[in-house]
Amino acid sequence: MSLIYFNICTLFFGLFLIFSAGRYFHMLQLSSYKNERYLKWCRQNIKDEISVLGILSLFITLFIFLNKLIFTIFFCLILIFRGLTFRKIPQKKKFVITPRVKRLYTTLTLFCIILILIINSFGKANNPKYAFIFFFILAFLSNIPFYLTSLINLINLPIEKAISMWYINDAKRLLSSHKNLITIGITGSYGKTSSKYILSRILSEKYNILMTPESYNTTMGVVKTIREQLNPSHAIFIAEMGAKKRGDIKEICDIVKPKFGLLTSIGPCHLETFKTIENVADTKFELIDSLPQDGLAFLNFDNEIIENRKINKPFCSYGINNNKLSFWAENIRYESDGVKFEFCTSDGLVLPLKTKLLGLHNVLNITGAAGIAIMLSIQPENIAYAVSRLTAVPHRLELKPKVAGGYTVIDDAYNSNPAGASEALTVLSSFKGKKRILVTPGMVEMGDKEYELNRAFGEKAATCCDFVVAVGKKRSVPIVEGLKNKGFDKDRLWVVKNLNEGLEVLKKIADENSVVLFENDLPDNYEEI
Amino acid sequence: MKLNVGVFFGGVSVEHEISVISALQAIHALNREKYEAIPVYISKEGVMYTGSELTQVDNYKDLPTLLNKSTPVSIARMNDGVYLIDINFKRFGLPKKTKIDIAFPIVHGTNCEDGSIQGLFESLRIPYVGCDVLSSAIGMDKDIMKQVLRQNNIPVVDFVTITSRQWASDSKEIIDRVEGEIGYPVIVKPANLGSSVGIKKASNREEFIEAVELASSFAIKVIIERAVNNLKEINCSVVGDYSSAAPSALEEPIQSDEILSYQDKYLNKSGAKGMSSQKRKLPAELSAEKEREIKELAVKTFKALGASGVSRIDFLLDMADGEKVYVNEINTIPGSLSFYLWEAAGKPFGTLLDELIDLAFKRERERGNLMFTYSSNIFAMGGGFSGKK
Repeated sequence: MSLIYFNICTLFFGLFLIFSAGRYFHMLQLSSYKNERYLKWCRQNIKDEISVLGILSLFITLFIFLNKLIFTIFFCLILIFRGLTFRKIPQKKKFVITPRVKRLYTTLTLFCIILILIINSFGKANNPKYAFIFFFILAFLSNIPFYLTSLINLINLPIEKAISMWYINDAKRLLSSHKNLITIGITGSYGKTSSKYILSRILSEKYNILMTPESYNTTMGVVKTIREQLNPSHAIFIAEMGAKKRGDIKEICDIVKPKFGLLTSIGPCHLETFKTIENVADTKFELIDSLPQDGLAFLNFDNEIIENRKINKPFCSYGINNNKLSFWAENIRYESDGVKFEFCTSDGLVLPLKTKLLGLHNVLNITGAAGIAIMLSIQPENIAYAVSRLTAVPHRLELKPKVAGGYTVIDDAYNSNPAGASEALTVLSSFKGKKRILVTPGMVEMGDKEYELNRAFGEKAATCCDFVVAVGKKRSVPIVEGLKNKGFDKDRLWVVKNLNEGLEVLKKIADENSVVLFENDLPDNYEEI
Repeated sequence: MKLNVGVFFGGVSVEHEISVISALQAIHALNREKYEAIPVYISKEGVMYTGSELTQVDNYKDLPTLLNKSTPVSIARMNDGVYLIDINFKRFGLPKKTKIDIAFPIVHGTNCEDGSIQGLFESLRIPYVGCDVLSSAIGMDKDIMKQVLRQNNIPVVDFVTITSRQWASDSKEIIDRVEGEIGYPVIVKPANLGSSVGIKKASNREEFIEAVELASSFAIKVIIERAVNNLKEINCSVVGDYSSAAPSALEEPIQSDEILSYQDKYLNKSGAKGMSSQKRKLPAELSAEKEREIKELAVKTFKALGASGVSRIDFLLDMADGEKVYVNEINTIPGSLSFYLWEAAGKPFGTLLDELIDLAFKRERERGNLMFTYSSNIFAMGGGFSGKK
């Protein structure tokens, strides 16, 4: 008889686990299915995720043998109630039910079924003590469903690895069947996505280009692009390569075998995983190391770390106002309709260029891309035309089309870094005579120096903006400190809980004569509620 | 991994058969390593068919059997591209579908070459070879084409345009006008047909009336041109687009009738070989200076009409007037794609086709760089707020 009650309870547990899994699979997805990153989020949010009712029900479990019927009903009601009141947090990046997520659900369901079977088999063997222990385990698990999720992820890991391997081999096969394809790899701590878009636009004057879309820059992102989009009309494949740890770039290079490599910068990015800047440099240089001897590297020599490194491959250098390099930009002017400068080569070409892209770093990115275009025999006049037609990468210092009566928006929401953020502030400050407003939560994933970097960012902001809306009360502490250090007027500073509140503030302070810079955006896992 | 090239041919057009020949020539010349040619035959009823049987010219002798063996299809855009879909719906299961990466229209005449099929490709957002809707349409209408050329200071023979309704209501006035403005002999043409269907020369009033009656049975708009008596015809092909274009070798087609008739142009004894087997002098016998002038005019015409891909521009040289050069017409999808003119200039057919496909992708890239839609959904934005994301 007791078996029926156990079964009813376990069934409800199972349903509850599967029901609540969506939220945690979503977090897992946002953590790129990396258990390490996901567990960190769990640790930080454990207080919010554990429910009092759940602990209560766990406690009740201990008394289940007193009256099975009453406790079972009580128990199931609590679970239903918890299921119905399950906290839903609005997310900016929606949960996508990918095949991988479906596999996670399948494993979770199997896991629950196995537990039920175990309980049943103990029950049938007239061993209710063990059945109870397993039942208790299940009850306990229902209180920490987020850890169960990471266990399921761990179980699925070998399957996922095998599937990835198959995809990688398929991509390699496709590439090897495409004999004349030239692959260009792009990496760097920052500037790689912008460079990718710029390069692709310039090279498309002559060639059919395939590039990894948006900020796809992981091995699987590159593989996915090849498998879904590569066709024989493509003459050039531009692969953006991102790295979170040593070996990441090499892994991508082993698949795509780049002939050209563009290294945009080396800086303190993802220091939480890299620890030291030397590790970052070594990793980024995996791209250059993987180039063939008849390949060509394009290196940003404005970056000291790159300049000072011993380079064992044929290379071209580029930078700003430095005529000792292969390619450089000089005579840079900021005008109302964009930036104008001269692109120069060591062969004596002086090509006047004009762009709508904001920021000095974009001049640098254009210089590097134009250098590659020259080496791929694109006519200078076509380069100039392509550069004049460039539009900003979405959310990267993107000057949004102005809506009548509204304020001007510079959207720099993606992946802030110290140099980029500082440049964005410079751009904002160049809008003289306007009401300059900064909306930002500051920079994240900066490692040990995060506080210091954010304070410096605040200090610079004090000299560049008229108003600051700091997003996240805890998060923005160093920025506010930086602002105060430089004597920024308190009445011009707002500290808000989240972006939506920030937008409310903007409704009050921003008018037609305002320029609003949205600097950095946060992954959902960082949002303060 | 190959690129699927959908070659569209046939069509509801008087030049149906010629199109079949041109298309099959191209299909056989396509580089097999790079492309998978997918024939799409448009029957005279306008039904599209696909199937490997359609690539053999001999099969067309028994059309009903050929169509029976082929698959009737419809063309449709799905989320991941454009497909030919079997329209013989089965009771169970999904219909067969074939993806096409690029469309290659090799159709001649109305309902096809005139921008109609190009419009279909535009709506489906699939890259396609050759002229876009506007230049195809202009190229097909001799009246509009001449107006555009005249506006660009490109010499064209004097002409008068009438409609069949005007002719029916007031032929007297039209005759007076033609005799006054142009004078016999004249050439009467339907304004919107390619090839030489319905074209007649008239040396006096009786012949003129007869010629207009014939032409107006093919088209509502009829164009009457001054006939150049002592003429030499020269054809030049151009490959490129609005930004850069190059001329081919020049040919002088040999006429057996007074004007190049339909029979001459396509139905010679040599059988189903199309434009490429026509009698001609290639290269044409011209002074170097004349040759340069014609080639320059050919490129200028090509760009003035906004053409793309391969076109053939037909010239008239008035031998009685110091070889004065006139542009007679443009063929935006020339018979046999003018490959013989390019082979004479040292470019094999396969290479020409490669270039045409590259040009189609180039246009697609340029359009991709323009903004057609905002990525954000205005309906979802609400409240008129213009902020982030």
